[in-house]
Amino acid sequence: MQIEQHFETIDACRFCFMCRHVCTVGVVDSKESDIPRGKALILFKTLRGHIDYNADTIETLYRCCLCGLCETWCVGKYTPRAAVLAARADIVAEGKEPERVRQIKDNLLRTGNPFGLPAEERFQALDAENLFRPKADVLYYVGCDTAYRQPQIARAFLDILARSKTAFTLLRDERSTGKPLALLGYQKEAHAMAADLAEQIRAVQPKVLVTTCPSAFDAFRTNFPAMGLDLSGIEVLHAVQYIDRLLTEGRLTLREHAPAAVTFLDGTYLGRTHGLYDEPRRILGQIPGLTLREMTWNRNLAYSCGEAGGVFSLVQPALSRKMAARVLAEATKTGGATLVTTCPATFSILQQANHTELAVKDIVEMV
Amino acid sequence: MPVATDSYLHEMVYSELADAVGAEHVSTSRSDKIAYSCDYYWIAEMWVDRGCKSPAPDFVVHPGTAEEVARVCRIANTHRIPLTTWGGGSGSQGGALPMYGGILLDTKRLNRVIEIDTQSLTVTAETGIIMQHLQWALEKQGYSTMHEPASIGCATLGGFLAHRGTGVLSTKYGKIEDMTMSLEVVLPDGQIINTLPVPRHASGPDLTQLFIGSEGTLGVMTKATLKIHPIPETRQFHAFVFENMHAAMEAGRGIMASRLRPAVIRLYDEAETRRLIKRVLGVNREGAYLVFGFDGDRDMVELEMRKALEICRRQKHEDLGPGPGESWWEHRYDFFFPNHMFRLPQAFGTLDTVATFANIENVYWAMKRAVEENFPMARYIGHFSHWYEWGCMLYARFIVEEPPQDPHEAAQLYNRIWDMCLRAAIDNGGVLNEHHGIGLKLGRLMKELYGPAFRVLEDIKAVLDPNNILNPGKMGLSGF
Repeated sequence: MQIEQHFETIDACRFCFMCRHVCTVGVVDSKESDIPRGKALILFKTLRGHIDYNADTIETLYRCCLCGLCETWCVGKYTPRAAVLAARADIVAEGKEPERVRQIKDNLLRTGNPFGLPAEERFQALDAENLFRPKADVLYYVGCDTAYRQPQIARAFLDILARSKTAFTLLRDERSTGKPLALLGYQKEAHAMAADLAEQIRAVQPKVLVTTCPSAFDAFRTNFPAMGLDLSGIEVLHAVQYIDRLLTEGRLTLREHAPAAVTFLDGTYLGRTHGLYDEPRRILGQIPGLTLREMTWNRNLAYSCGEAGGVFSLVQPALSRKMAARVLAEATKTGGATLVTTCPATFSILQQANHTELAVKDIVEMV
Repeated sequence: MPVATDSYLHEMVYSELADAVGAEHVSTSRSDKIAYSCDYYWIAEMWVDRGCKSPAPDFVVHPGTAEEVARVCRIANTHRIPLTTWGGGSGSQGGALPMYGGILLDTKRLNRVIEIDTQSLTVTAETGIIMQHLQWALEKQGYSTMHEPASIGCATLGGFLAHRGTGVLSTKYGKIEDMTMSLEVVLPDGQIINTLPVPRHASGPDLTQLFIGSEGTLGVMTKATLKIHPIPETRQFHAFVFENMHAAMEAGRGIMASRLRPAVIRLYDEAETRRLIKRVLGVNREGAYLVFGFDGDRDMVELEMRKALEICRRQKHEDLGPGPGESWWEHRYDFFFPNHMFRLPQAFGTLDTVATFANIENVYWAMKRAVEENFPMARYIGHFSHWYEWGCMLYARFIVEEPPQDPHEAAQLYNRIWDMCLRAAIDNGGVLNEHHGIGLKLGRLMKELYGPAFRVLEDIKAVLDPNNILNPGKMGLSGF
């Protein structure tokens, strides 16, 4: 079992409550089984052979949203997320994953996106025919959520690329990075999908690989190198870094807005994982007319509604809506009129759960 | 008595609970049975570690209002099913363990801050709120309960009320029972009552204090009003190392006897100074480490600090200045993360007790002798962490590095250490516990502590809970 490799974390977390108050799922649903301690108790008993995985414990292990706030809080620097991911891989190896998880995997393998929408419709909402070149200095990886659910984010970023006179291309056969497969426990399939994408990327010979999707950004930055997939010589940037650079170089003029207050939601990958807290704030700070009002929970302590891999809302739709409602309630307290995110998957969940007066926007739509 | 899952009663009780709180808030899942089968009690952890059968609930319910709690109580009372209340489950005494199965009532959906009264300086909140969340809500408005225990992020307001919890600022701001104005309580028959709105009166006995510390045996507390305080202008610390514990104790006692009002005093014995203070704070000294702090108006704090420093300097000392004190405050919760905390395979117990200044050092040495003379495999350390005008609390601990693998032998050894130490404490003017409560762990010693007075507690329990549904078998009261 892969969880054996995480015994140190399981052993430490099984009797520890010290992160319960920050555990996103634990706080919204109040169940002891949802906090890292509850999961570690389950994994300890599983590891020792006292229990087998059954439908209940499997469900619990797919309820972690992988936001990582527990790890930020932990003085001991234990890694419950890695233990949960190992457990999911073990569950998959036993063929016990929930049917809806298997369905997402099948969708990804069949269509290249977790929704099961036709691959040929990926860029249907964009004026795609002029976007493909065999080689370009800048390669824009759009990502599944942006392409299928929030194409206005892609259109806004394409507009930024045009305004900044950037020579770029998209991948004609773009598919998922495979990261959602890894997060659901399908490591082998994730590797194959990532390898295919890496080959496509290398063929373009870009200097810069930029994406509006934080999960893809983390896949390129963290997972691809860990899997031995070579993107050397290619600078991987999230859109906020790219825009920040364009602004610094004077290559982009920001659009004016009517005077308004906005608040900003930091993300799991850009924020907690890669420490990109200042770039989005620098961008928002330069937009004429906008005032940034911070949430109490921001930067490395920001709330989450299930950004990781963009599939949490597909696996746990009701739970992710509750998490989004909590983010929206917190954002409302700032008095801002707009909640700005940097993640299209988060955008989609917030949109579904939004019964407030707040507008939800991706940062590239504000630029 | 556990309700057999294949019984007709199980089906009926499930339906009634689902009707009472909503089906999504009733669970019989394996995950929840596992998660609610173990709290922070060493024996419960040991049972998990050794693969023993743990006490598990038949049903876990998450009511969202006092009325829903009342419905759950009525169901339990009607069917005579045990009902155990669970806040954060982070208690160290086994108090929240569902020893007889039945219904486990998790209070954490009762998590609303109802009112912050900035005129009277009180807050009213539901008791399932995680204490840190309440604290953050108050801090946003410039206030604090000043209840700052290490378990602030783990435990609920109700959990602290249930076992008379305390926090690191207790020396100035009191324990939870000193902070509480009033309670809403659901009685075992489902009736919702409120205690009087103010804590000082001459209108008969104090019902608020009857329920505080009752550990879920007399009712389910659902709402509480607490005193709050403006966040102080400044909080300043200072640390010393004294040549031995007695000298440090004299300094601490001197501060209290002078009627200064420190928010914090902590005195670590030589063994804890050598081990914990070095490891967590990086202060590598022989002797006894004393840290204290004052908070409030800056002029007052500076005056009190000056007076306290004068008192400390009368003993043979090394003045460490404010730095290590500030560092202690900043890292005060780090001690309780697994990388610093004692944990299995070690066996360990916190022998916390409280006594007058005349007795407290005798209690320390009596318990130390009890450990060292009878249990050569164990070591003993301690610190004194909650101080009163008349005495202080001793947070002593025993640690056994390699307890027996056999769970029965391990439990027997563990209980023998507890029995000998606490009897030594009682013989020297101490009590069973200062702020962790009694729970399952220490119930057997309650009759010895109280003597004939224990009958009063038993009689109150019998009147309020004649079917003995609420948390049976805890605090030395009857099992189910």
